Amino acid sequence: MRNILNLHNRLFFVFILISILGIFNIFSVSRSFGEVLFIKHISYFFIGILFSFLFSRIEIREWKELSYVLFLFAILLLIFVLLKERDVKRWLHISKFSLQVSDAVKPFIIYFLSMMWFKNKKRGYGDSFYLLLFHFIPFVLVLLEPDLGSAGYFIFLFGIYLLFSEFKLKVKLLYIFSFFSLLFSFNLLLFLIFSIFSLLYVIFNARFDTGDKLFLTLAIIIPGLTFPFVFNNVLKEYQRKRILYFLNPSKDPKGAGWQILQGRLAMGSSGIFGKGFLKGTHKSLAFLPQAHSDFAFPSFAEEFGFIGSSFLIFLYFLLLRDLLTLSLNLFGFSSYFVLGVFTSIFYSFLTNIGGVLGLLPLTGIPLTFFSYGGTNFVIHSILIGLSVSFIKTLK
Amino acid sequence: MEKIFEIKILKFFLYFVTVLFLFKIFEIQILKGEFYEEKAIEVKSKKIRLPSKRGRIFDRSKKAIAYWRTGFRLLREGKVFLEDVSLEEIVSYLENPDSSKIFSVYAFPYRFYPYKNIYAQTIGFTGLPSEKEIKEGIDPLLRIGKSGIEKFYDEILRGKDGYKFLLMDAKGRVYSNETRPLIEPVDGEEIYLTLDFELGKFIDSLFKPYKKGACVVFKPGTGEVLALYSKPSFDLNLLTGKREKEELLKVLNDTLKPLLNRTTQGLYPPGSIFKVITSLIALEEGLIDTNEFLFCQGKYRFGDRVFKDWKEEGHGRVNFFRGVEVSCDVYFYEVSKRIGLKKFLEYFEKLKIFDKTGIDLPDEKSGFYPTIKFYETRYGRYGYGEGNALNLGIGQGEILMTPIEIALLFGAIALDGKCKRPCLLENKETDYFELPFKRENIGILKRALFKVVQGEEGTARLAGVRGLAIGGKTGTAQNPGERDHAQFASFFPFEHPEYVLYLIVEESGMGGEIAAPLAGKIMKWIYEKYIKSS
Repeated sequence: MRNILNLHNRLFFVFILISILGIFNIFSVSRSFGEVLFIKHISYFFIGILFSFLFSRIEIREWKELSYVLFLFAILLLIFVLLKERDVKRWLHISKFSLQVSDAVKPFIIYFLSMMWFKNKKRGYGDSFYLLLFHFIPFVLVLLEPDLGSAGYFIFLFGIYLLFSEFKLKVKLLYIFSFFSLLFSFNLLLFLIFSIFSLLYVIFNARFDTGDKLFLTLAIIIPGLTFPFVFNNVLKEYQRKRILYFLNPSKDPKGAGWQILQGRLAMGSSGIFGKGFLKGTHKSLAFLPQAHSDFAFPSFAEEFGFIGSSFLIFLYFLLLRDLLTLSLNLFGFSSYFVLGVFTSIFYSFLTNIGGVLGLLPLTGIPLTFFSYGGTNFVIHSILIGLSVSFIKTLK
Repeated sequence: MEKIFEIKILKFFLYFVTVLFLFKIFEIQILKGEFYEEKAIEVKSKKIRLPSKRGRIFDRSKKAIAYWRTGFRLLREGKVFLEDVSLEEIVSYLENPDSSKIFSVYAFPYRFYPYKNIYAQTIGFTGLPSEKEIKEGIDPLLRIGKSGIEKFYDEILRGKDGYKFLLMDAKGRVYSNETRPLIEPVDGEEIYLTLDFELGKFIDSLFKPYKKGACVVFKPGTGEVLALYSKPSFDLNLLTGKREKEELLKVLNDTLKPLLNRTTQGLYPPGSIFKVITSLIALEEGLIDTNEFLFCQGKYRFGDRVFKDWKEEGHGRVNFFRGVEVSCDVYFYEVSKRIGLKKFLEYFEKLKIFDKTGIDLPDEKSGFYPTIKFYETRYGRYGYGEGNALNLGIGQGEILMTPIEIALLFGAIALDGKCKRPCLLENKETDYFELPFKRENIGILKRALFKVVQGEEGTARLAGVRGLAIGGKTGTAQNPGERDHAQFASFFPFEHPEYVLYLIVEESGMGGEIAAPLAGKIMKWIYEKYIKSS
């Protein structure tokens, strides 16, 4: 219990420490991008910290009707932003401020989805489809902006919630098999190995009845078989290329591949201790694209070396572990809510750093608390505050 | 909490991702650090060449006769693609974004020669280094001397290009930081020559009616060379830049051989000028008495052969002085007979007059003189004899000399046996050239040479300059099938000789009629510019 009580302070401490390191990095970047960047970021920092403290003191109730209203409001916002006549419809401009809507609606959607997952007690296939539908709505709307990276969060959240939920193993397996079937469809050998082993497991498992076996068999085979067909016959050449470059950016000579290479050059040329604060040459020459947002991590790594970058990763690990521990110690709605917050930061950590390290496709997701981005920072500060507010209930 | 397994999976996932990231950054930042470090510098720093300037060349009046003008050089993948391109060409090569990656342009100081074709072979031209020279370590983008002074003094004139290392940002904009300090270009050194280009211009105007010829003016006391004129010539500027390859081919294929520096590479039979050597040998060996008279009827019998004088009706009574003055062949046949072939050939070995003078120019030719071995291979063991000596004595044998060799010979005569070797670089100390003859014998010869110009019957009367005493000798070298080469060699002022002049007009006629008047005008020019005032 003492451990849990320490969480309150530690969560705040780690989150603020990461943000301060982020400020240092933005300051360094702003020297070649303009000071406005730094001034804006530092004001978001204070706003975020303030909100985070404020929200940590309130008590959120499980109010079903409110959650519907908030979800509806969030969906309307997402639709509203799509109606604008622009190519990229991510921003909502309110007088001088511009909100990144996909981030801004996160508290409402997490609140609503936590409620849904908590309240839904039936645990069959149909219930999972029903829940998936509510993840799909924001996913599709954000995807249309178009922002695949941010949209992916809602699907990722579905996976985490599903794993965490009380659904039966067969329901969880249905999604797990579909996911891996799709993943392995790019490689025939992997797909064959996967499908043979999982089919054997399903067919000779006494726990599953015939219906289950049929469902699971379809989950193993259908996505893996249909996707290559769609890929080769339905999609156009440029669409195929886009997917391939997305999955393997090093093949893309001009776009993401070049960016990743530059990120690596920045990181790799730093050594153990780095080039020193404000001495990074790569970002100051604009070789490092988006050094303030997507490539904030390589930019930091260039100046602070392996020591600095591994320390930053360790801080994220601490933050995420504490959020996860908190979630697992909570019950019901609050447990899902904190898990949603955890998932949002974890998703950003995973895709941003994984992307710049070349382990995952580049999605354009900023590194929460570290990258530049007002909406993202303030919203996640609020989410941290709300998560911390649940600690009281443990006493 | 009964979902222990799922919680474990989720926790494992977080730990796994963290450890994976740490491994990956360890790999990138530590294991492959050096690799990326080098690559990062490659991407950002750009080496920019700062071309050096080739040293200027000045003439004796301190006027620059080779300097530079700015042109644009087109590189293709770092190698010279086109020299001296126009703006239109630059645009046509660089406007296409694909080709602009391969091609690049920079301002380059090309050589400029304000006197164009004057002394062109002597000054020489520059060009890109050959494959072999590049292998020897010469910067492939540097233009080096290919001939003449440009080649001989290339190491002095040649500069060393510098480099600027710029940090370029991703958009190719120059960033102020510098990764490495700049390497300053080192310009080549300037050199000062003893040549007088105004004199060259004047000689060129005199040569206008003639196609081929050469002229040397040099100061035997110091070795300074005032003129090394060779005709036909070419415009050095045409061999520099834009169309240099085509122009060079044109000049190379020209049957008149403009690239040949006739003053140091042209081999001519000296004709009657060689009688000065015959005279000196005879005087040195005591074979003639200067007061001894011969009677010249225009021909000389030797065994069953008849040797003709250039003047059919003959010169009448001739002693040594008159023999030289009127260039009487019959007199010199007799002298040559007395010397004999053996002695001639001995003297040719001993006199260094056929050797290279050592002038500071590349590819100087040495003269040619016959040896016993040469005669035997050429005419067979019994195919030659004393008759050859007679021809040698009047300079019509197998002897060949370059104009600079004849000028040096006259320099030594002018200064009573010893003079400085010729040199184009100002203030360069050269060795002495010596003739193995007694001072008084040379003095006797000089008196005779005085009469050649000043004497009533002198063959070089037309070379006379009012107020200037001149010693000289004409020469008419027979040129089978063509008109003779008219030649004249002289030194002046006679009392205290300062200048030596040698002049040849190829395929023109008699030395006294063609060469002497031209030389007279040149001597007058020099007299008025240099001698009269001092």
